[in-house]
Amino acid sequence: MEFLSLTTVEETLDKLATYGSDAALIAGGTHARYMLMSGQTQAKAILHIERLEALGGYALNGSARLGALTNMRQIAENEDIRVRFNSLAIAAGKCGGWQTQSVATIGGNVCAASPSADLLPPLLVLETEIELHSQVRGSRSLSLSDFITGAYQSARAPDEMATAFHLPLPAPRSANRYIKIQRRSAMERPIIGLALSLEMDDSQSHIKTIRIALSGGGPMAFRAVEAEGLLTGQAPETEVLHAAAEAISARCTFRDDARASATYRAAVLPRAFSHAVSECLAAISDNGS
Amino acid sequence: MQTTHSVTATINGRAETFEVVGLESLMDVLRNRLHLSGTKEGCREGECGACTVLLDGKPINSCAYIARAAEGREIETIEGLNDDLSYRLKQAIVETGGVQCGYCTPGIIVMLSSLLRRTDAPDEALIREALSGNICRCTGYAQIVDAVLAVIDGNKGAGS
Repeated sequence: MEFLSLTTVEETLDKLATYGSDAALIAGGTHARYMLMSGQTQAKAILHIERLEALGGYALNGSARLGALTNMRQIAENEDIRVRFNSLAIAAGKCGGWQTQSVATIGGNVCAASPSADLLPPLLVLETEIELHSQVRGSRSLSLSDFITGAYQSARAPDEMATAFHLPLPAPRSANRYIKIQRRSAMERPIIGLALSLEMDDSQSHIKTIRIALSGGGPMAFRAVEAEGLLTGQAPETEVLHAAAEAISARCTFRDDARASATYRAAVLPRAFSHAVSECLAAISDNGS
Repeated sequence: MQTTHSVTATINGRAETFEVVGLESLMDVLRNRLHLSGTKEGCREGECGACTVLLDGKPINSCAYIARAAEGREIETIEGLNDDLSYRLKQAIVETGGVQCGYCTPGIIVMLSSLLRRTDAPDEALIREALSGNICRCTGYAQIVDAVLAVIDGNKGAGS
């Protein structure tokens, strides 16, 4: 096994072109090292990319760009992210302890494509695009919904590397929140991780657009598009919110695992959803007043 | 057989060169090769915080960090935290009864030192959030939080 510490994107893409599926990319290593040590992933070459400085940072330029190596702590503590993309900041701040967050990256969390990844629900409701680079084919951008293809599966080709995430700036009269249901207050994967992005109309009485995404509700994080359809154009009242919660549940394949039973997951989901709606409405109303 | 590689990093202010095997963790290198056994082994998978060290000033779980990735970087372990702030934190945690079995204590001191270096007067909520990755099964955390609050009070008393 080779261990290559890389410092530039070009060098990394060159190694990826050479090794393809025999290469494993590793940044902070909080997930990737465990997978390699336990034999769940195998690699002939470990490409250590933690120090590719070009892939760090957060910048606004019409949309927001987050470098793939931005770590969880940087996301959780960034004031601008906390305001514009609150769901993402909250999810990053709840992903492991600070020791994990200091080195775990957004690129690693997304590319690992875990069914219970904390960052996927917020990134899905924020309509994030992921930027991928390959030495042979150049760059492409994919919506995150197209990128995540299954449990631990993504559309990343073996010679590609995620370099950045692009997030459209939220509309006025909108808010986004992340609700994480967990057994303890920290250091847990979510039993349910629900992200909601809500935009109200000019009068703030009806829903203009709504996006709902969930992790822990099936083999992969997903957008609950049926529920979104039910709520678009509606006033956020009890009956339609209840119907929407049912529609989210209908998309789920809950299962029993060490963290919670399927019955518990089904029972807690509508409450998490209702909580997220209340938080978003309160935030929009605060901003508008 | 896996080959060994030579890595040089600054450990507690001193340049150290050590051999590492494969994806060996920084924790194993610190404990077994450099004999800095103050860094404790708990879960070996980044869950408990007993192995917390500072990497370029940031707290990390050294059990989950690849030692080879530490090349050229600055690492501080509990043995190296002898500045005034860390000293007062250690005193306070003894005085409040924040040490019982003591196994989690080095990791907790390292984490809290990094918190107090960057935030003069964290409130209780922030102290508890910072400690969320450090598991203590004895104290219930109250005495540990009290120790940090005592250090902050001391800072105010000293007029700093």
